[in-house]
Amino acid sequence: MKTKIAELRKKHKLSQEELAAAVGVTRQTITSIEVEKYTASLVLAYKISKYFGKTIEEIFDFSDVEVL
Amino acid sequence: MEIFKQKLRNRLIFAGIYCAIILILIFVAGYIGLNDSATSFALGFGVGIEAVMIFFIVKCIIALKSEDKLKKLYIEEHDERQKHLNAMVGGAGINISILFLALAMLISNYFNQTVFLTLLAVIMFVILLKLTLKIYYNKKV
Repeated sequence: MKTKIAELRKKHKLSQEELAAAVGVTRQTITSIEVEKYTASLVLAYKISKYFGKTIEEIFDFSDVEVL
Repeated sequence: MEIFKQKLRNRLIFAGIYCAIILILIFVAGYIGLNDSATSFALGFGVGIEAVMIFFIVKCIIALKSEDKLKKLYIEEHDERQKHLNAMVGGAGINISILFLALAMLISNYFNQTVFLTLLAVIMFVILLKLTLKIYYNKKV
């Protein structure tokens, strides 16, 4: 899933390590989300969105998600 | 974080008890002169696990002494991607084990009936365990 996490991190001058510590995950998790290897859970998506003061939809791109 | 600290303390107690039991067993085995290969292997196996336990004991003690290290360990243990990986590895690991055990069982049938039956029992047990866990987690989650 595409996200704007890397973009927002750069804007806020945050390292992956700092963001990871702030939302309670490892740096590897943030890396995996940024390179679209791992999809964050709803709780983590909420924490990341709240951290940047945005809504989940503003950060996570759901356009590829199929609704059956 | 207090709950996690208590969890670490409990782990320390458990690891300490385990280490003490292994040391007592080594002492008793030496005292009564048990030197056969089965006892030596069992004790060696126990000592191997003890070495791993000591590693975890040190890790827990370090984490309990520093708030930063405690938070780092907490994140390591509660990281959602890590949990996801563990679930994937566990699931795939059991399936691959069953596959290789089945292969070994089929080959062993040509050479040794006891080994064949042992492997068959192990496979049945692993499959039964997997099914039981599946039913349990299906109801729990």
